[in-house]
Amino acid sequence: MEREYNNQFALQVMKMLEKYYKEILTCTGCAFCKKACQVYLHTRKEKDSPKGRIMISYGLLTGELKEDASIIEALQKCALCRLCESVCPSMIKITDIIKAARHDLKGMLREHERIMQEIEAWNEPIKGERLLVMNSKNEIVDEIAKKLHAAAWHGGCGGAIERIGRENEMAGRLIEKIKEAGVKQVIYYEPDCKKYFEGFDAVNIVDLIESVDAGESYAVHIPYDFDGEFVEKVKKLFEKKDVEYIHECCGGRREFKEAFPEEAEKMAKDVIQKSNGRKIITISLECYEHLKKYGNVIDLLHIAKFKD
Amino acid sequence: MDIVSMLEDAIGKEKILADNASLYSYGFDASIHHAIPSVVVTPRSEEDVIEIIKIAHEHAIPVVARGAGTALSGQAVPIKGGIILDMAAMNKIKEIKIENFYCRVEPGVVYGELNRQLAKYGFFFPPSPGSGDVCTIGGMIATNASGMRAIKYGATRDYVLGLRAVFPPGKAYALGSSTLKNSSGYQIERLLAGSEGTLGVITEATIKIIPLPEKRGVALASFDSLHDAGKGVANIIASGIIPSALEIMDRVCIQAVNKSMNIGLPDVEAILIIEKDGKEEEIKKDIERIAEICRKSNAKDVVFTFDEKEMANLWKGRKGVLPSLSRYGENRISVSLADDMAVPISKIPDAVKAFQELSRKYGILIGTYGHAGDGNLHTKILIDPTSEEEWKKAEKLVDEIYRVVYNLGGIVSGEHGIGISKAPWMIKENIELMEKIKAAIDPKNIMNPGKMMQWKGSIITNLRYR
Ligand SMILES: Cc1cc2nc3c(=O)[nH]c(=O)nc-3n(C[C@H](O)[C@H](O)[C@H](O)COP(=O)(O)OP(=O)(O)OC[C@H]3O[C@@H](n4cnc5c(N)ncnc54)[C@H](O)[C@@H]3O)c2cc1C
Ligand code: SF4
Ligand code: SF4
Repeated sequence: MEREYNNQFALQVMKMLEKYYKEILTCTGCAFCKKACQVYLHTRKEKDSPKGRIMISYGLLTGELKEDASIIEALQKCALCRLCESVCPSMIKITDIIKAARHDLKGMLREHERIMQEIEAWNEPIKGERLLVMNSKNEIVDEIAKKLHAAAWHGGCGGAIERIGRENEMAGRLIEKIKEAGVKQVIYYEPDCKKYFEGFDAVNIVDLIESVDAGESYAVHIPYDFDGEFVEKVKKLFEKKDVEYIHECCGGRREFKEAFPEEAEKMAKDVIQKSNGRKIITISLECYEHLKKYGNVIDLLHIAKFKD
Repeated sequence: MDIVSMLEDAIGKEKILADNASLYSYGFDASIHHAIPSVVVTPRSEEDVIEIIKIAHEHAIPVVARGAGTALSGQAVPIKGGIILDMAAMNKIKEIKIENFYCRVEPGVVYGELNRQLAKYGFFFPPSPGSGDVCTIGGMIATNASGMRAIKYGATRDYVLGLRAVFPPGKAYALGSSTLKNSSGYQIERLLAGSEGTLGVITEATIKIIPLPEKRGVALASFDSLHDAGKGVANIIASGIIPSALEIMDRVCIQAVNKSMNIGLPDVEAILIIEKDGKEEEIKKDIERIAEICRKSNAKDVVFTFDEKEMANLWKGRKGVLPSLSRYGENRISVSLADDMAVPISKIPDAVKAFQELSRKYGILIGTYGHAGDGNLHTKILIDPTSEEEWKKAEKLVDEIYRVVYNLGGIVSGEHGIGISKAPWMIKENIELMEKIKAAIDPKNIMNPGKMMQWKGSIITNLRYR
């Protein structure tokens, strides 16, 4: 079935991709990245591989390819998990290239249009000097906010919009709101959000965790795309325990899971299988909401004990 | 009816890809070439392949079988358009028969995955191409792939006991056997090894497997001169020890790997990485002897290890040469040209020296590395791929490289195969007979047309760089 998309293509200039011209040429086409890409391993189609997406970006850049539904889909069917980068011997900035290509796309998947509208429409009052910014409607957010004597914002900071490849105006509006409300300290979770809160006293929630009550046998799911410093902090919480880490992507990012539910389900089941029957502790609420449909999963915040 | 509809009717819509993203991305392998097919088909069974070949034969449409698309000379690029037959979904390991020393697999099985499964039984399939983590058994057979362990274990062809393959006009044949020995007529299964998809489509392979060695040890010897490194190789071979790998890397490669991989190889003119496998006591003795031989051959330094992690790290450095070179030049990238010549073992230092001289003559950076132990050298050429001038220069350079190789008694490709980028330098005498075989098996010339002996003209064609 032909996928639905918004097809208002004008003559295109690949502005962002142009910056990656040399980077794309440096890709040797060796295909080593295929072995790491969970999406490719499920579909086995060249266009769904990291190499495929780089070549498609190149085609767009040189004008040999014209944007159409298949190209939008191929470029968006990437969870930005960065596992491919962990095996690329030429250290190609694969996800930067994919993000640049997405940025230059004119068209958009219907699912993404809807997600963007929903994110942008999110509103809730902000009160107080301390604000917990989370991208989740799960009740744990309110529980933690209470414990931390903070107000809660459940609408995130628009990371999904950026990953889709569009200007994240939501973040700007959120910052305005925070300023208006007189917030002094922002508590955020995903390391990627930090950049929005420059000028604020911004604290990562993981720094407020004293310990975790995890039980005996479990595996910890840390998607590879989280930045190193953050991952180290999380690992410290599990330091003295015998843990196995799973770095594979579960496909749980909203913009991926809603546009490609079939692949997202297979990827989640793979992650569950990798835990060898043990309980999985995942470090992202987004992963948690997705993974819990398929197995025994809890997320870090649910088992965290916070410092006083 | 158009080709897409015919294929859809024959084997099912879900196995046919004709969208622009697919057509464009299936046009690449790991070579300098690119071309766009008319349609991509993803067969799941031999029956599917038969149907596809029947249609292709009837309508004289080119068919290019494809594994992982890691070929380095354009073998998997559909330069005449037509059908890409992506064999990746035919990836079942059908049986592993330890007691009979063979396994039977579909062509899309990935080499690394097969060895992971075989390791559970203490067995392996030895050829070890550098691309082994991703390349397929079908692709390996079709290019007669091998790698650093060929010095002791040989190439893929030596392990092909039997094949099933589909030939025009669309008939499947069982070739060879599952016995270890076979003197029963033409061994057509072995003719398919190295055929680069120009004769038939491999749909199943029966592969000889052997027990994994008990242990491995690796020595790393650094040399201040290439000549001494070459002497080291000759002396090791002359000692009667048969290493399971004997690799050489020149200065350009060493520096490229160090720059991109942070492995800390010694900063010298050349290094040898020598592996010995076998029984524990035996390899300890042999590795120490090898170290001694290297020292006597003027090695500046020799270190050795039996630690799995350290060995893996060294091999990671060696396997990373090819891609690391792509990061080495500031404005230049490495392209796959003249990448795989074989010369008599004793001629290695002469060959490497000659390449370095040519590098200076043309002002083009060349990295040389490879399987010194069996005379198979790899070079990577660093150019600005957007400059027409540089391509012209590179083509002349390649021509001179192959002249040197011939004068030293060598051949154009030791393991990567011919495709397009090495076609003009194939040995002329072979071509006539190859053409006769090709015409007899594939009278309409639909199987990967325009490759090997059929490529005429410049190799700077259908470039993937724009
Ligand atoms: C980084 C890197 C390192 C490499 N190192 C080595 C090495 O050490 N040694 C070596 O030998 N090669 C090496 N290669 C080259 C390449 O990986 C091998 O030739 C490999 O065997 C190709 O397998 P593939 O599955 O990728 O085949 P493809 O590239 O898809 O196809 C190669 C050829 O095989 C044909 N083919 C594929 N499947 C079938 C089938 N089922 N039936 C008939 N024909 C078929 C295709 O038509 C084509 O002609 C390397 C390549 C790279 C990128
Ligand atoms: S992105 Fe890296 S791993 Fe993938 S084909 Fe390019 S060089 Fe190879
Ligand atoms: S980021 Fe993840 S999903 Fe995207 S191409 Fe790389 S491995 Fe595949």
